Amino acid sequence: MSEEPHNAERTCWNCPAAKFKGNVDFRGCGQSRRIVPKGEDKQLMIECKRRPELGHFEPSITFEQCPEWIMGEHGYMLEDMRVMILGMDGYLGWTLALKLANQGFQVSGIDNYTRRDCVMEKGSHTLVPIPNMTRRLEAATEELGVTLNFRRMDLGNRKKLREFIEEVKPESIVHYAEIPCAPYSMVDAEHAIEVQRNNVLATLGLLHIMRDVVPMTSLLKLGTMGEYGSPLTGRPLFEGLFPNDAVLQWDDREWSMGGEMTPRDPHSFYHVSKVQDTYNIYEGCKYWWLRSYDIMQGIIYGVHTEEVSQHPDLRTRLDYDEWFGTVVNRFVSQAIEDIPLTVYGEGEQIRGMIALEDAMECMVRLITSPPEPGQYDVVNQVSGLHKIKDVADTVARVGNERYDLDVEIQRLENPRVEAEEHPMEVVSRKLPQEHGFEPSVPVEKEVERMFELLSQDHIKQRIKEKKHVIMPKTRWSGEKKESGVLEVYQPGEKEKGDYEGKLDTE
Amino acid sequence: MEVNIDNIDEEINDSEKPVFALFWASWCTACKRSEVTVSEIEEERDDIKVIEANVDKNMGLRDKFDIKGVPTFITFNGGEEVDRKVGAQGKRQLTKMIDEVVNK
Repeated sequence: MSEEPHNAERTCWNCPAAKFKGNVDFRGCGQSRRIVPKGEDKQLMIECKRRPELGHFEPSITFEQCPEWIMGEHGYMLEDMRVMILGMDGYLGWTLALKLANQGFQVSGIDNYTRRDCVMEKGSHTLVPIPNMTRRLEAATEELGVTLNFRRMDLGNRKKLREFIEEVKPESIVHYAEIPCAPYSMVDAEHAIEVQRNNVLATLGLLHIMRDVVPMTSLLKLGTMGEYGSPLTGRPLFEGLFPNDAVLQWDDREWSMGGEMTPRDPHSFYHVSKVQDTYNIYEGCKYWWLRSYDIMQGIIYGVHTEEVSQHPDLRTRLDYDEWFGTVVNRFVSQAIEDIPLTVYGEGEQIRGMIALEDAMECMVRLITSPPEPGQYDVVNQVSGLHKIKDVADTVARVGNERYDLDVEIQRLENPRVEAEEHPMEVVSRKLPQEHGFEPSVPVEKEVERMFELLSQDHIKQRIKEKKHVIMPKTRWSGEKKESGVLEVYQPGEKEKGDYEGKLDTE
Repeated sequence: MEVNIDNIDEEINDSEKPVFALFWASWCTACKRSEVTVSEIEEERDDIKVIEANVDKNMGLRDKFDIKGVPTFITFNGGEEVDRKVGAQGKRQLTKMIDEVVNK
């Protein structure tokens, strides 16, 4: 890998401080409308919002050359870059807020505490205790010496959101403010509608605000690998768009598919909301020259980053209930309390995953390497592919060997409608090749960190209090019934299945 | 090579080899992918000159070359347009287009 920072060659064309001057073609539709007046034969000019004394110039200064872009931990960063995090109280939002602030970014954020409410609705609580936002903000100042500009608000409140964006003028917006939960969206009509209202409509409103107030700001929108589904043909899951050499053949003819959106096959109403977002953002980029990374994140897990581990009041939440507990987080929590790990169905499902710490590094790299005007781009943010039953084995093995536990695994009736045995090839080339990202946290390492944190008595006590939230009761069929146990087995007992995941990074 | 409104005439008219041009835009996902193919072609072939022009940064290009959609691929020989294709093309289709101008 080259020594040069990943974003050294990016230019004003990518920079949120560049303001277009003169005739800008905000095209009305697609790829064929021509609305630039005749006789306009100049190159596009910009003005630098940070250095207006430069006047109008071509957008060609590289980040390496520009004094506003200074060397940071992960490549060049725009000095005092203003980043707004939507959903700052959440598992990812809080973690990213601290990481960015600690690296010198000016961080602002909003949250309406939906996640806290939803988890409470389930009758659960975060396993790792977190204080309220007032205390979180104080702790950030006391422990890290940083100030976070937080406002409590609903993403769907366009008036308030617009005012806040006008006030802060963020140079990057990270959108973590969606309800991130498949089972929650499958509870009943009310939940499905609430997930789609919050996720789809609020994001659509956000796009309009960005068009009007901060069109040069990049939108980093959290998508999910679950948008793609798991095609039984084994077709690779490309990064959102077909690669240049993909061809559609039919009736003895062929067409290039390069750059077209790849098929989506969501598997819950929540995943559908993410697919709908994808199309809305794609259109926003096309109509208004917005710019966005749609980040197809694998299943996230873990408890550690340098910042959250510094003080108990800086910790991020960790959910383990059937709704909001992601699989690795759920497994480790169950292991601590001697509950057999709950594998749904065959356990042969293969999923892309990534540890919290690695995911946060990816985000910093993407924030500091904005797309070009109008560019809609997709990254598959995964560091490895894992079979669910292998993850259960790993968690059980770590628990048994290093923490003297006696962890078993139970296969349950699958409450979901999904393929339980399938091939899986994931293409994830952009983060390593274009953004200089190298994963540094293997599953086993993060699982150990989790055991260490969660084994503390006061945390174990919290699992005991809420044991009833672990077994799945939310079925895709709509029936409310706890999943039956199909079998209980010891780690390492199961034979290898037919399929292995293939991660394509080169 | 990336060209702009100021030097594109020179690059096309003064070229000793036939010219293969890609007109593209940042917002066009098909263009971003086509750039990969075009770069491969540029590396592999020395019998043509490959140029790329961003029609958003260089707004006059659309009128000048009557670009009605992106990506647009145009081949030139001796400064004259030989062929053009609009919309994403596979490498095989582009190679055919280039072979035709080279073998003319």
